[in-house]
Amino acid sequence: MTLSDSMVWLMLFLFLYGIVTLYWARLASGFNRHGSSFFHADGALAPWMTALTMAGASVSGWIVLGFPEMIAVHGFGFAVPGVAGIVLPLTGVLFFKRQWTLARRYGFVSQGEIFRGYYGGHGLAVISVIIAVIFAVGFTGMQLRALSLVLSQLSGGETPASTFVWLIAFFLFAYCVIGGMRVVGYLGSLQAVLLGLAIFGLGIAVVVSTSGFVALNQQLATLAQDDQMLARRLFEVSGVIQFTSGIGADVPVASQWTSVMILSTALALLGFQATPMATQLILSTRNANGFAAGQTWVMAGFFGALVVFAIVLIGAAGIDNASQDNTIQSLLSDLSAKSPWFVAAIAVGLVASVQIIAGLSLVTAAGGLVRDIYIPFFHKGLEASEAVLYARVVIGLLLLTSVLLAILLPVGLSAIGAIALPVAFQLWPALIGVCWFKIISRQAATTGAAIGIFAVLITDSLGANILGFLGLELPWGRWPWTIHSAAWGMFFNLLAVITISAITQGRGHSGQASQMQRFLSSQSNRKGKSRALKPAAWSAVLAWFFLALGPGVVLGNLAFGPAGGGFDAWIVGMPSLWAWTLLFWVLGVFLIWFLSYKLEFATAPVAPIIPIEQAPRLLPQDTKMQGKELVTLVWSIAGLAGVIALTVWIFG
Amino acid sequence: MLVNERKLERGIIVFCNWAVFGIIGLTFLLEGVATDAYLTGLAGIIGIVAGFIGHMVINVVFDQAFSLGETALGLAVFAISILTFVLNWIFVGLSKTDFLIGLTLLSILVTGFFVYLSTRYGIRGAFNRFDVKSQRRSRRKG
Repeated sequence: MTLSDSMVWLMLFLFLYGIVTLYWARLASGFNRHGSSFFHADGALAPWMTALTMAGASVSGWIVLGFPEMIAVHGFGFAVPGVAGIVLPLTGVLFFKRQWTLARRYGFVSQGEIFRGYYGGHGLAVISVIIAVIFAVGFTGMQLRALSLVLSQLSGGETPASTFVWLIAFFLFAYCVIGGMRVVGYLGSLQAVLLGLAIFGLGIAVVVSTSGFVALNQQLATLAQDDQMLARRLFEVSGVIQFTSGIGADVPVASQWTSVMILSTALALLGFQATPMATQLILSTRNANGFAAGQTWVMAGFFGALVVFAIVLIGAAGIDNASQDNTIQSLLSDLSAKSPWFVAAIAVGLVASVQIIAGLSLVTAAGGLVRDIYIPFFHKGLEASEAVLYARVVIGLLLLTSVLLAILLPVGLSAIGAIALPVAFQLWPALIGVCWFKIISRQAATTGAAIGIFAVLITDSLGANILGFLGLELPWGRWPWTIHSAAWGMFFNLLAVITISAITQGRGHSGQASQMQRFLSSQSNRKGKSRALKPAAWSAVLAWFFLALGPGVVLGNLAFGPAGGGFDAWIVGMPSLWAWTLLFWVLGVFLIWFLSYKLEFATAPVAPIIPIEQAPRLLPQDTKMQGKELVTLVWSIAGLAGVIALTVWIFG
Repeated sequence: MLVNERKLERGIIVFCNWAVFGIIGLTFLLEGVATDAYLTGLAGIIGIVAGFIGHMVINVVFDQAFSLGETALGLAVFAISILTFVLNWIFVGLSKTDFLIGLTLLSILVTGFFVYLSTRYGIRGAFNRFDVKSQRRSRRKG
């Protein structure tokens, strides 16, 4: 078979997939009964659809395309965050049920509305929309770019990467503007299944190409005995912490993947299900019956297993790959010569993996920009049908920006995409305030999130690049002290939240906040037995984090045999760190089950939820377009651009 | 929940089912034919059969039968498979393994088709499905 044959199969499979997406978009649009259905599917998505879509979007292309490459380059230190299958759903276990319950009771249809309704201000709603936009442009664009490079290589370079970017974006645009959130949910289920199949197929391909699992581990054991490999500490976690100035400013000893780095990276993973996209999907769900099963069995169980087995396996084969080409690319290129149909099927799964998060981000970001920013600030009283039209235009503009960045400015795009998760994690205190502790006030949550995002920016590459452009050089690089920007952000975020909450003493909420907290308490209504389990559960969570991702992970370096001791010294026939990760994945599934079911954090509410008659909103009812505010905004942007230009001219 | 929405949900699950088993079946079948490996081809056939079984389980769960579109698509794919097999046999020539794979697939599909009809409608009922004359007669009476 030549590469042209693989191109034919690839195009055939992509064409069929494209037809399927448009078919479901057309069907879905017929069920969007009124204007606002476009944004939240009338809250009618089946729970199993939400479970699959949520799991698929949480894993998405960034884990499939990014993790193996990171493991291949940085070694098994990066395999430890392979317990992503446990970390990702933890956020959902804590917040989904409570957000959904509040939304059903008070008529909220977006995360921005929940923040507005509970805290009684606009600040957090605006931050929530900004995060959605970062995902829609940066996170999506980054994955589009990575995927198009893989597809271009599969075509033998016959088709440039940019063509694939446009092709994928075209179908994405078409189905999003036709069907809105409903088609995102419908197709999300299918895309999650295709993604699972692709990861499974890639895992099998690795096993076959390396002559079996045992043979691969024997090769790894031989590699691990190599002095160079030992020096690079590819099979171990590189200590607890290194007080370096960060990537770009300092060179870490051996590897940057210390246990503190691993833990702080895991914190970034906690950000995904705190995003407005995750909330939007949850609020589009018919009932809360599927949250526990979705988080426990679909996400932690099934996709968690795929990540910790197959994704780590692909990365491990990459360590063995002397050429150090992109792992997925080289694997698929080798396979395409022999079995182009397999490669085409896997490629469709990869396209689905990117589209699942892209579609969700685009619809949520467009909905947020129109409903949470444009309407309340600039065009009160806009008709619902017109809002949909505006949202469709915004989807087009966001996607166009993402595509152009992917083609013209890939480095800048990567920098934007890289901050998406750590920035989303900064919403945690605000969500804790809404769902659990009333002590967190509006001022605290808003200021904390803003400070947290700023701290993320200046400890990651995007902030350093922006400041460098303005002529300000930071004395540190990316992730100083081998601590991920997510943790830096959260440190300053919590500092602000605790200080301001202590000052405001629980004041600074909307009039309905107390009522909402009381309603949530009445809905949870935990039995005495589960209340007694609570301290044990939190101890288990802390212990799990300490041993699976925190400083305790250094025990994994030796727990199942020394890295350089040869294959016979590896007690379970695989690198000790990988075995440690697998062990804590199994324990993690149990943990998620315990929290979801036994502590009833994600089970359906005990009583049916009756919506209140007067939903709390902060939207004034006048219907004139606010020309004055628009003019102010335009002048503000022009002024800011002027200041930036002046700064660059003086210092840059 | 509206009946139509339930139908739509069933449709999504059917697509998911075939996305898994259809792709596994098709790719292994092609691999078996390309590499002259009967067992690989058989794995593909098992994938396709599993797809049918999955589809029928979904039908039972949602209390629905195969839709007209699904039946038409299934029959069209079946006809195309037979045509491809026969044309290849006559004009291109098939290796013994490829011939066996094709024959196994077609015989399993034909057997499966009749087994499905007889279990769903009974042997007499299955025959009646094709008895156009009696159907017309009963329609006139009705």
